[in-house]
Amino acid sequence: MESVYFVLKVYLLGFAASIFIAFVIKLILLVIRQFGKKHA
Amino acid sequence: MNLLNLFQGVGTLFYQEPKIAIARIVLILLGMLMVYLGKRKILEPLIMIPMGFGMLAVNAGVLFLSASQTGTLFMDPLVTDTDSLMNIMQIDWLQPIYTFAFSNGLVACFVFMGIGVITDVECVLKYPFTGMLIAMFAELGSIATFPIAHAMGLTYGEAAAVSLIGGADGPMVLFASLFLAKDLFVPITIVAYLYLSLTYGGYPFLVRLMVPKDIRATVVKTAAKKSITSGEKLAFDVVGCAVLCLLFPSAAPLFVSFFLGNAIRESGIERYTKLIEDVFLYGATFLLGLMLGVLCEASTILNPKILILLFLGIVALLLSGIGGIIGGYVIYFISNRNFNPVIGIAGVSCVPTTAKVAQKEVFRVNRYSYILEYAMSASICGVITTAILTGIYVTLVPLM
Repeated sequence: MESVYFVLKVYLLGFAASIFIAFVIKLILLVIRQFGKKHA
Repeated sequence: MNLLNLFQGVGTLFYQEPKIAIARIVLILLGMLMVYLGKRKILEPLIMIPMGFGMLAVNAGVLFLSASQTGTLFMDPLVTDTDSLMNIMQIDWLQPIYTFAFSNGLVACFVFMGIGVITDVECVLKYPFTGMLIAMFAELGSIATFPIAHAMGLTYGEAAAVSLIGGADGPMVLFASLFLAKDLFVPITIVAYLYLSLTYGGYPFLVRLMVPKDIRATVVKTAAKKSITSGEKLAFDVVGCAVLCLLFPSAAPLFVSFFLGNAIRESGIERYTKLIEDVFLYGATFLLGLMLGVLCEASTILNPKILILLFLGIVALLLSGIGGIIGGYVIYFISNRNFNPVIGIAGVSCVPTTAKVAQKEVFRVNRYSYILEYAMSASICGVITTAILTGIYVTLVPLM
């Protein structure tokens, strides 16, 4: 049972990190495009 | 003169235990078969031809090192004592490569850097949430195999390493097994590479089984998206690498290899791009194949855990495929049926094989359904999520 709890923890951490990276990607695009517009 | 002392490769067959001698002969034949299957492109030739040669040579070229000891002039992966290592490095021709480039994961990182150089991250930047969501569903094998492996008697480290076969990235399995399952890293990595070669053949059947024809033919309607500039891709490489290294330092060598390779591609440094693609990637792949073959000595392969690993490897890849397609269905229903669930299979990673499988299966039923962009996004996200899970396993398992 311990291994099941462990692996659920691994999955939740992995899921959170992946979604966080997706947010980071959106943020990068947003910042670069806003910055580009201001300097256009 | 005793002929068996002259032709020691044959002579040692009579000196060793019968089961070792038989295993050697089987492995010599298996090595030949691998070269043949590689030549016929049934298995991946870049790995299988050097691996087959290494396997047949290491099992044929056994000699008497002393009156009571047999061995080869290839390498000794088990030596740990510094003095013995220095002596062996001056005798065994592959020992320096094993010690300085293989056992520390350098070869795996070079392969990963090469993957970074040949990967266009545009699709990931266009569809980050879809890609990441599918990729995490397609990690089902990397997760669900762990408790099964542990229940079958593997240690936590071994279970984690074999589970990562579900991530379908050879370098990652090698990296994780070197850190978590040093004793089993050879069979685990070989099982991973053998199965990954077969992925292309097996997944189409899984797709046809899980996705009915009419759903497979779905055309994904997408609003036109602004194209991604190389500057934006480079910014993603820089920030993505920094964030992931901050979160998972134990997998930092993998992250920096991938993102550095991609950053060089996006920076347009052609000389480095050629260096990494032609020399690092193919050089490391060649050495990886040869080293894995040479590590397939009879005594290693007779490990009783091999059968368990063979079973778990296929379970991991199968579960990942199923998980990916379930992820595809989830997005299909969330997006009001404006998504093709077949894209889910691409989340298993194995860039770009699974993305090609997805597109091919969709083309079979609808020539006008183009899903490659989504599939490539899921596939590349699969590489990133597998690296994340590798980082988590490598960090948490030693703490258990």
